[in-house]
Amino acid sequence: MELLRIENLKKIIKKRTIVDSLNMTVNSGEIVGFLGPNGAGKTTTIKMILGLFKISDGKISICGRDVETDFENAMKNVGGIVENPDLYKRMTGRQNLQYFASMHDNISKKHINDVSNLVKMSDRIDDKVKTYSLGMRQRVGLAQALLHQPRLLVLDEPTNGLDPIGIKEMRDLLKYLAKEAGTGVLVSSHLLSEMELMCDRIYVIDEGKLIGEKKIGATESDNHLEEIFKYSFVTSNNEVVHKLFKEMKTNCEITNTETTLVMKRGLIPSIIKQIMDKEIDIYAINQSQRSLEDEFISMTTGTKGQIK
Amino acid sequence: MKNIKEYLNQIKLETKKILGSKLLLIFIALLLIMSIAAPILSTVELFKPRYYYGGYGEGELVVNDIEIDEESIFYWEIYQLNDTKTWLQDQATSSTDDLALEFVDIMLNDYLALSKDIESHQDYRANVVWSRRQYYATIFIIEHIDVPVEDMQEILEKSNSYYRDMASLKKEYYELSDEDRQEKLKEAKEALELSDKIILYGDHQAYFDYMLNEAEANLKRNEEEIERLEQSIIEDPSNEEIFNEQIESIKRQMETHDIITMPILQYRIDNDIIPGMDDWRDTALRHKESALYDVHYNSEIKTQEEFEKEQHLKWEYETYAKYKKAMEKRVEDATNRLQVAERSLENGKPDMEFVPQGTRKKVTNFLWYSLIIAVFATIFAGGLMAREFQSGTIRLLFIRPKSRTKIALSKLFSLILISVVLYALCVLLNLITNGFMFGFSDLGYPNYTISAGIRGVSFFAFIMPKLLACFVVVIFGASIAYFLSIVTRNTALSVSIPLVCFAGSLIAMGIIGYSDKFKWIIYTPLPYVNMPQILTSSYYSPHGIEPIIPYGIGLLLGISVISVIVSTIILRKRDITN
Repeated sequence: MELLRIENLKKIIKKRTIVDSLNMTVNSGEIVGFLGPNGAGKTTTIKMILGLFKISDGKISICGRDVETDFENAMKNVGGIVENPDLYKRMTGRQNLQYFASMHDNISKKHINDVSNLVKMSDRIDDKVKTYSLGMRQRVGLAQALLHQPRLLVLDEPTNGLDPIGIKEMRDLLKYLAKEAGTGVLVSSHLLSEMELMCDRIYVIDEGKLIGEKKIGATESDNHLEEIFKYSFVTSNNEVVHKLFKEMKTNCEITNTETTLVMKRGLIPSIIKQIMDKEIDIYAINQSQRSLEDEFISMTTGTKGQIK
Repeated sequence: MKNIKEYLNQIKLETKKILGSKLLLIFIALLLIMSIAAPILSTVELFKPRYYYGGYGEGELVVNDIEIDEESIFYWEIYQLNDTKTWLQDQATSSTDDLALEFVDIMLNDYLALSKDIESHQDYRANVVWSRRQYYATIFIIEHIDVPVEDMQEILEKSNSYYRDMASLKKEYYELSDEDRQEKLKEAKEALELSDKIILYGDHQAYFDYMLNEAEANLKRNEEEIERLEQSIIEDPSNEEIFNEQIESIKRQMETHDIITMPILQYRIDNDIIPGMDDWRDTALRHKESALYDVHYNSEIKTQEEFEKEQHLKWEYETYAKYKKAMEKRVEDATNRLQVAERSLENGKPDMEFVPQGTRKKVTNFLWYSLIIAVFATIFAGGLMAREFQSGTIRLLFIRPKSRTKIALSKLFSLILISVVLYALCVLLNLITNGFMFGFSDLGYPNYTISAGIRGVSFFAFIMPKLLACFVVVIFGASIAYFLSIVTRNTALSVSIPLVCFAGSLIAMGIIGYSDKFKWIIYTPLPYVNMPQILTSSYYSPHGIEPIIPYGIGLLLGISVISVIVSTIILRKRDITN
C-alpha cells in the first residue's frame, strides 16, 4: 500500500530551485533511503513532507491525504524528526512526550512508557532533557515520532550522534516496525554504508533532482548468483592463489596479506575448490559491497569529496 | 463545534505547559503576595506619605526641659520665641527689655503647653491656636496701659512676635475710653477661655461658637475695610475706579458669608460635625465648601473686553474662547462635585472620595496593579512563539496534526486566560485584605455618578467596568509582544521593545500630556496604556489633553486584534527554516 506519494515536487527559495520535479513513493512495510550529498535538498524535501515548508509546486500526499489542503489528517499518519531533535530542555523526557502526545488523540500513559522502552530510554525518561547526550535526545526524538503509531515515519539523519550500538539498535527497530507493523519508513542520510544495511530501496538525489533509484537486492539469505562482488582471500600462499586467478583471466590484485578478485558470486565455490586442490589453506574470504558506492559516486557528479 | 472543542483542548494543554514554567510560578507567587502586602504596607508609618507643612524643624529642640519634636507643628514658633528670649536675657538693660521678656515668656509657655497636646495639623484644634497670640497681646497691652505708647511699641518690636504701628496702637488701645478698654480686655479673655475649652476639653460647642465669632469678625473686618475704601474715594476721587474695584471684590467675598460659610457652619452645628479625618461627613463638607467657592468665583465670566485688559489671563489662556471654555468646565466640575457631596450627606452614605482611608478607595487605587499584570503578560507573551523558534522545538510542534493557527492562538489565549485569572485573584485578595484592614462596611456604600442626573451605583458596578478597561492594556501588551515574537523570532526583542515603548509612553505623557500643543496625541495609544491613571483622575486637566476613554479602549483592542491576525497570517505562510 502506498503511504507517501510525491509528485513533481518543486521548492523555490529566493528564485533558487532547491528541489526540482521530484517523484517518490514509500510503501507500507518498506524502508526507503533518501541519499544525497549535503545540500542536495534532502532536508528541504522532508520539511515539505512534514508541512514545515510550503510547497512551491507539485503535490505530496500521505495515506491519500494532501499535506497542503488536508494538513491535520495528513499529519495524523506521519511521525518525524527533522534535523536535530530539539526538545524542551527544561522539561523531562517524559514531559516532552506527554506534551506532544496530548496533541494527538488517545495516547495513554502506558503507551508513553512502552515507547520509551522501545527506544531504550526508560531509565532516563524522567530526567531533564538538558542533561541528555545528543544520542539520548535522538532516542527521545524517535520516541516522539513513534508516539501516535504513525503509518509513515520520516526521519532526517536519525543516526546523528548515536554510537555504533545505538545505530544498530535503531536499524533493528526500524526493520522491526517495517516488518511487524507494516510501517513505511523514509530515512535520509549521506552515509551510504548505513543505507545499504537497512534499506529496501534508495533514492539518490543531487542538486535537487532525483538522479537514481536503486533496489538493494539481496537480503542476506537470497541467492543472487549473477551479481558481481569484490572478494578478498587470506590464504597460506597468496602468491600461488594470485597466479591461479591470473590464469582464470579475472580482474585480480595482490597485497601483502591478501589477494582480491572481482567475480560473479556463483563462481566462488569452484574457485575455493581449486585452491583447496592445491593444498593451500584458506583463512578468510571477504565479500565487499564497494560496488554500490562506486555506482553512487559515479551518479553524483562533482560532489565526490563529500561522500564517505 | 468540533473545532471549538479542539481549541479548548489545545488551550488547556498550553495552559498546563505555561504553568509548568518555574519562572512564571515565581512571578505569580510574587504578584499574589504583593497584592496582599500592598494594603498592609500602606498603613506602615514608614510608607505613609508625609504631609509637608512649610518645613520640618532642624534638629531637636529642648526648651524648659521640654523636648520639641522636629515634626511638631509649633517647632518654628517655639524656636523663634526661644531665640528672642535668649537674646532679651543677654540684653536685659532697659525696662522695656524686661517687659518684652515677660510677653515672650507668656507666649512661649503657651506654645510649649500646646505642643504636648496638639500634634498634627489634621487636629481641628490647631485651627484655633493661631489667634491666641492676638488675645495675649491685647491682654498684655491693656494690663500695661500705663507704659507710654512709644515704649509699648518698642516692647512689641523687641518681642519680635506681635507688631502694630503707632497709629493703630493708639487708636485701638490708648485712645479708647477706660470702659471700652475693659470691654476689650474682657472680650480677649473670653476668647482665650473659649479657645482653652476647645483645646483642653475638645468642647465641640465651644468650637462652633469660636467659628461663629470668627465668621462675624471676618464680616465686620470686611465692612470696616469697605468703609475705609469709601472714605478714601472721598479723599482721593482720582483713584475711584481702583477703589471701586476693590470694594466690588470685597463685596463678592462678603456674599460667601451668607451663601457658603454660614450654611456650612450651621450644618456642622446641627449635625455636630467637627473637622477631623475620622468623620467622612467633614470631608464631604469640605468638598462641598470648596465646590461652592469654585462655583461662586468661576461663574462670573469676564467679558471679552475685560479679558483683553487682563494680561495674566491672556498669558494663561491665550484666547478668550479657551478662557471661557475653561471657566465653564470648572463650574461644571464644581457643580458635579457639589452634587456628589450633597447627595452623600443627604443619604448618610458617603461617596468613595470622602473616605480616603476606606476600602473602596484603596481598591480603586489598586487599579494601577493592572499595569504590572500587563508587564507580566508582555514578558511571557514575548517568549510564546519566539522561544519555540529559538530552541528549534517549533519543528516538533508544527508537525502535529494541529494547524499552526490553532497552536499559536491557543498559546496566546492560554496566556491571556492565566493573566485574567491572576488579575482577578490579585484584585480579590487585595479587596479582602483591604476589607480586613479598613472595614468591609465601606463596600456597601454607593458611588455617585453624574450623567443626566446624579445616581448612586454600587461599588461593584462602579469598579467592574474599570477593571475590564484596565485589562484591555494587558491584552494590548500581550498581543504586541506576540506579534513581535512571530515577526522577529527573538524573545529578547519581543519583550524589550514593548516594555521600552511602555515606559517611554509614560514618560512622554508626563511631559506633553499637560500641554494643549499635542492634542492629537489622544488619537494614539500613548495616553491609554496608562489606563488606571486616566480612569481614576482628571490627571492632565485643566490645560492638558482630554483622553476619550471609550475610544482608547476600542483603539487598544483594535490594534490587538489586528496584530494578532496579521502575525498569525505571517506564521501560517512562513517556512520553518530554523
